[in-house]
Amino acid sequence: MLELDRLGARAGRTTLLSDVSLTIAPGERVAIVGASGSGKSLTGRAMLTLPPSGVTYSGAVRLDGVDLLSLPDAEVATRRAAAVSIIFQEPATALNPVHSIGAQIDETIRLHTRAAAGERAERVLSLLERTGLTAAGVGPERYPHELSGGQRQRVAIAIALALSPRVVVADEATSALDAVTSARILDLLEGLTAANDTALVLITHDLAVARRADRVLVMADGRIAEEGREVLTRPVSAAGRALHDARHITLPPRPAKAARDPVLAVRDVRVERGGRPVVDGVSFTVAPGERLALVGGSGSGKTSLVRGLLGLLPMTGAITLAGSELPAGSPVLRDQAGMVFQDPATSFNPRFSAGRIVAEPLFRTLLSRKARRERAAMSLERVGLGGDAAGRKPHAFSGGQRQRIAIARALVATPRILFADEPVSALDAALRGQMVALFDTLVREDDLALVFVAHDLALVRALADRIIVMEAGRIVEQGTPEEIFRRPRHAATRALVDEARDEPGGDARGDEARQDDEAAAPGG
Amino acid sequence: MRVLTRLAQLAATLFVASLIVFMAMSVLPGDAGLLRLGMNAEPAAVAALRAEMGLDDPLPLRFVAWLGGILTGDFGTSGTYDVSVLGLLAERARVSVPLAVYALVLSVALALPAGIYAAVRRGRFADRAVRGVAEIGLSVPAVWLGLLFIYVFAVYLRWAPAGGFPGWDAGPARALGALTLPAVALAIPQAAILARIVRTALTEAMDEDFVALARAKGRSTAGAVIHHALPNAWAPILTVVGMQFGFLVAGAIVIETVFNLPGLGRLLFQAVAQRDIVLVQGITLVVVATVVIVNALCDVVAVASNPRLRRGP
Amino acid sequence: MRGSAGLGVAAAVLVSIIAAAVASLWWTPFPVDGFDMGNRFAMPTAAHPLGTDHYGRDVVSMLMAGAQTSLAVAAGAVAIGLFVGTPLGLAAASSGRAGRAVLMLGSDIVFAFPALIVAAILSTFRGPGAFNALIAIGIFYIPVFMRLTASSARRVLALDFVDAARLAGKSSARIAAEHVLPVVAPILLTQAATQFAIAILIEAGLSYVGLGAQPPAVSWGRMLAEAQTLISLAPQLAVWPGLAIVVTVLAATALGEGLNRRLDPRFAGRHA
Repeated sequence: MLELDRLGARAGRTTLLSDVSLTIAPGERVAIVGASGSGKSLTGRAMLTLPPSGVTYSGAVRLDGVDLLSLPDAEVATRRAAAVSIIFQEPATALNPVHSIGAQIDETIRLHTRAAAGERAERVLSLLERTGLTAAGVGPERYPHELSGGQRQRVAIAIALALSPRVVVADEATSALDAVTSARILDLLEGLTAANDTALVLITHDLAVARRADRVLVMADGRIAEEGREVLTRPVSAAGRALHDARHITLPPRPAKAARDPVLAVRDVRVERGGRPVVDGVSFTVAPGERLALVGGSGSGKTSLVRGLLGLLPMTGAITLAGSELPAGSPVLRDQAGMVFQDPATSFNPRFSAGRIVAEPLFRTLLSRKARRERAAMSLERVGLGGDAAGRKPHAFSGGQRQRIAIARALVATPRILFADEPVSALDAALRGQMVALFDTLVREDDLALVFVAHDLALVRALADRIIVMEAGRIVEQGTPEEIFRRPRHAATRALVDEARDEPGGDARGDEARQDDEAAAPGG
Repeated sequence: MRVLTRLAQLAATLFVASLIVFMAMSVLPGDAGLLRLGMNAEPAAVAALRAEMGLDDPLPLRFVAWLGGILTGDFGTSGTYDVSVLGLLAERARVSVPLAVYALVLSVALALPAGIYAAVRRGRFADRAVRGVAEIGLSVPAVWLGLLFIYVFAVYLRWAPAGGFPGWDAGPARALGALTLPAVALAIPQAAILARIVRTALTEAMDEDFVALARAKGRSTAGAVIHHALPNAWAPILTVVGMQFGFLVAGAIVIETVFNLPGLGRLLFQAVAQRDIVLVQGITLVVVATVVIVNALCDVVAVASNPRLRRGP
Repeated sequence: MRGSAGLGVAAAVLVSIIAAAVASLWWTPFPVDGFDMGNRFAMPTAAHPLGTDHYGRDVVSMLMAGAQTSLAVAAGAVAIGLFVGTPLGLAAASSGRAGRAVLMLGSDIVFAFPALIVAAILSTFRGPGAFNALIAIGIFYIPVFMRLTASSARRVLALDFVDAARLAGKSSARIAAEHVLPVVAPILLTQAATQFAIAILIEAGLSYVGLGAQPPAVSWGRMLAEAQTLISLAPQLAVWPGLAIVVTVLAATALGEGLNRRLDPRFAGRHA
């Protein structure tokens, strides 16, 4: 029905896609997976002939035998949304902030049908109903900013399905959502497309999403690297293996240790933002050499907890560091702690060299300039960035290398505790495994306590000794990875665990759990 | 809530601005009496005038009296014309305000389509052409444009007089005719600035996913820009229009001189030359207050155009 | 590619205009303060490439002397805006809610005073002059640079590397100087070039209406005003100063845009 024939794409003289051929049958579910820059999104947008500005397609995109690329744009426009529709990644920008959601759903119907206003309004209401928004109390008069990220993606689904198209392209439609919401949105999308015999194209970097498809294509460097369902279990291409390994991290075994006195103990930590408590009485301890994971959906307060402890947000509560009590927000904890931020793109002053960036935590020490430089170089060496790395500016490094610089900076002042806020979530899946291994090695070598925030449970399971699950600013469950993954007790934990269960043979259990989840929260 | 805050802010701004106007006129070196009567005036006459003008009262008292007068419509009496400043302002505003509005309408009429067209054709020849013309347009002093117009249309072609204003009594057609060349000279640089702002605001909005989604719904590029990018670009456009308004007013005052129009501009320069402090104070206050109020209006409209701000806490 | 060529041309044009203005301090082809009544309204010749004016003065020499006024006033005004506005903007960005509100309200108030109005007030008391024009434009530029600095600095302050510096124990002032200023400096430099161009335009307007440079000082705006009285007699006299202004403004604007593209494109487009 929809056929890409030797599709190519170029921007100026750069080739972005070459020789991409695939066909999609009615009702089929196809996943296109790949790292960023692999060309998967360009392939998805080609199905609607919507190149980003500056990009031109070549080859053919045939819908029922008609080549869309050779049609004038006005002709293609009549088929967009009516025959092929798309859902974009970012719920924050995918909807127009100045129009109500009803108007935005209605627009699609109005552009393609002659239906009267009353009839259109009914169709909008029924779409809101089917996407579970009515049940959540969201009416057509609401504006995007009044909705949560998941609700906005439901609106995007309503728009995409408004005209019952034959193909829906979901371009990383759930990547910006937390695991729980993401699973529910994908379930909804699967259910609604299956009901209409609509084909679904899932574009993603995440094999957990891809396992929902009948057929999986792995893309790398603008080409199809591998095709078939075996990608999920036995990938043959390098790109497929990299994606696979990112979810199956194996670290060297850790010998069981005798219980040690905690290096850090916090009691009844509270953080308020805008008069609302975001961390609401959290207590925990962490011992030297122990790795503690903080997990939870977005808005559960895990990041605010870390920032509060480090004095970046005002907090109340008691902090005991190596047996001695500290006042809240005390600089002493900062001296004993290192921090790795989430986004390597904003973690560094773009005008500083890597050496100067890494040396910054030594600011209050009495070391000479030369000694600081040496310490910084040593720290960079430890994370695998030797040679001339210290003299280069951040933009000269890749995302993965930048996160290594961030780790070097966090460790340079020999802290006792390392904090990390989603340290790998901004990285390509393929790089995550390496980064986790690096954390493992460094924490082991320095006998550090590691407190890390994460929503990627594959990572958590491999790295953590103990997991704390947070929801609405409180701890709802804690335990070892074994306990949490075997017997998740809280609903939030179950949803998180379910998302991570994508190992071969784990599908059946995953499906069961998903049904449980839907029963627990009908329509989200 | 937001509107109330903005109103309070507006009132505070106006109050402090009037305080600055008053202080500038009262504290700057130069004896107001001497300025009026000349350096060779009799000390006794100066003293008498000072007393008459209330210049010997303490400063805060004088400010309160002055501000009270302004609020009740009493801007004082012009020393040189010996008539009420408010009357003079009202009379001259009949030229200046229509001129500024005329120029504003022209510049919007030129800039909006040009900016939208450039944004729709982003990166293509038409876009580069619009940007090139705009760059030249905003590098041309309005004064010089005025001079060129006078030479071409008045001296060379003899289609229009070289300036002057027949008054509204001569009929709106003749009056507007006399304002056309000055308004065009004033509008061209303004339109160039505005077209650039419209293009920038639109292209920024065009990069958002919701514009791509509009295309995916079946809109044409132009349709997506007009229905989706433009409503989101109003806020930044209006904010800059508000900020540009001071330039428009100053430009109008200068262009009045070029075309010899009896507006506030000419009144201001005569008042400066005559050192008529009361009159300078009055004109200054009116101009500054207009700029402040227009800025606030633009802000309010910008907020109203965005539901996120409109309903925000 | 095209951008850097444009940058080079713009810089070259601006440098030669500055050189001409500086040279006019010591030397112009003909004196600009002497009359040569026998040689009025001369058409272009080898000695007077652009002819002479109604007092027989060489137009090229007049333009050189006029450049001196225009450039000095524009540079002085931008310097005031930059050196007063930037620290105030940094202060506004790093201070708390109340402090920022007060500083920004002050900025809004000053911004409501167009340079022309400030020049008129100053001229009422001090008499008109180029220095008044410089001060008037400079005062107007303080809020311009203050707003830009404050908004850019606030964007930078929200980035993670500022938090990293806080964790290292650095003070707000040190963070402003080490982390914020270097990152916003290219933005300010670009803006300085643009505002320099605008100042040339404002100065021309001010001296045209008689609130700027006074005779015997020469300025492009005054040359336009004098040309207007003779427009039917010698229209060419109105052309040269206008062209001088346009070329200078275009060059300064192009320089600003070239700098904008050249200086740290990675940061220019980021909003965090």
